[in-house]
Amino acid sequence: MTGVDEYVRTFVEEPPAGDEAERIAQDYARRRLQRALAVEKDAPTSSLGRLALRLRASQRRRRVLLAGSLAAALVVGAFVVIALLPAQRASDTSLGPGAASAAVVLEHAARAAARQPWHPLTAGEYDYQLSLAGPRRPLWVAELWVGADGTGQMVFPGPVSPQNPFQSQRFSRQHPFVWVEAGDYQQLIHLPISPPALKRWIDRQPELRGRSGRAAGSEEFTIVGDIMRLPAVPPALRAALFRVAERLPGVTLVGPTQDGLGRHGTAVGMTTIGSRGLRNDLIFDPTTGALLGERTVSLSGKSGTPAGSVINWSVYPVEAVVHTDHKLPAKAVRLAHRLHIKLKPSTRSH
Amino acid sequence: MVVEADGRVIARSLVDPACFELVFERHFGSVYRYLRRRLGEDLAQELTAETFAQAFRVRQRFAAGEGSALPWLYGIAANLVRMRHRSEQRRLRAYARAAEQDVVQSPGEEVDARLDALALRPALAKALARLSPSQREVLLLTAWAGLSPEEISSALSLSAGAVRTRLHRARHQVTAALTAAAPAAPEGPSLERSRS
Repeated sequence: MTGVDEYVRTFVEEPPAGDEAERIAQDYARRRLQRALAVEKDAPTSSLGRLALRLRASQRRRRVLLAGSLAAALVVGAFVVIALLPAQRASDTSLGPGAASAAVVLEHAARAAARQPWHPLTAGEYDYQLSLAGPRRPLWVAELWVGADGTGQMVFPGPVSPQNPFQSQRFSRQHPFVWVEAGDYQQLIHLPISPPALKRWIDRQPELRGRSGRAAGSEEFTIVGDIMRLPAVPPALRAALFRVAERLPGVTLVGPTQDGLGRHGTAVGMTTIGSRGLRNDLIFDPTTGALLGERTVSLSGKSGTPAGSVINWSVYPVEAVVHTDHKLPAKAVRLAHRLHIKLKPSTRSH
Repeated sequence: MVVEADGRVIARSLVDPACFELVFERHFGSVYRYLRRRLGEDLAQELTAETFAQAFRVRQRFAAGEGSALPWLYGIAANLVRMRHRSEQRRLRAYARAAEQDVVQSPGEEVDARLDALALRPALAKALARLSPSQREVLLLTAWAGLSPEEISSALSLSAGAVRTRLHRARHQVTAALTAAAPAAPEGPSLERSRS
């Protein structure tokens, strides 16, 4: 501390501790805090506070993504997983090239999802997911194995760099995988699957409310995407998420397009609020309604890239249940070979 | 008795939100008195309540933190104060006017260090009001909250270098203002740097 600091320090005397004004202020602040506590306690599951915070973290992550750096998002927090959304295995109906609206595309995807068989992960089963992101080369790659108890590992096969600061992270019972939006696996699989209930649940998250008292549509669209790309999302929940998105004002049909791997799809999008002129798209397989991936598109060129260009994209080409926390599904091996991507599962096991 | 670290308490509050009340009880007084010194009772009451409500909502950010949560809480409070910096400037100008009155009403008092300090209060209030909000923040967190540059760096999400730069400039500006206003007597207040 310097002489100047000393003058400043004595300039206004420190108020006495515990005087009446402080007691009144403390009572007032305690009541405010208890109201905030009550909001979490009133939530429909015991951990909605956690979920809200995870959602908030996820929103921040999305904003980082919008800034154009998927890998940098990993720096934001070790819990942040650029998780992967599986290509759904719908096989019958076709959306066709002339889908009339975003609602038609999303409803088709919801029906496809709802038809998928599902059972909760059991002891000894791990959900494996592979995600790829671009357009930066080499592609950013992440692999995740996670069990219902949160144990498993995450591997980033690329070289360590400022953009890719980790090579792996292990999850144990003491330090389990955190389902970014939903705390643990049990909470994830017990989220509401009725679209209105899920929508109400999203809107109740205090961290997601704007100044107007409710979440903006584009924020809700972001949340829907954030939950969808978590590992091991039950098909019924995914269907509900599609149906929530379907009813959001501002969701538009973008039309036929290709995802980051060149697969043909149909995109629906939402322009971000605030905005530097960005649109977030979800891309669906026109035949099966499966979600292929997502991307962020510059609309105005304000983000430093030409209008119409893709700022970043992510695809989720493989998700499968395996029986160790380091085994690669055959589909992942084949894809890695085709794309000349080196996957690097750990050989370590429990 | 081992006191549970704030980071662990906050991590527990992610599962059991009521745990966060312990953080509130530990740090309410420090945050409130700091804000009261800066903004007066009414605004301090409001902003302290808002500081803890915000801290609760974003507590995940500190859940893995080490050490005291107090610098983090000061950082949240600082953001709230920044939005009210015009209120703070008005308050500082009011201090300056009041301090000038004090000096005028005390002409017969002995010339001592206390009077010197009193004489400098209007200049000090004006100098503080003229600092940029970020410089004022750094200086007051140092002088009033007793934070180190590293703690301020963490609280305000600035690099330690940026904190030191702002602190240096703030001290320089305040020193210049006080030197200009200091009584000409040879025993006027020393503004030389002196480590304490």
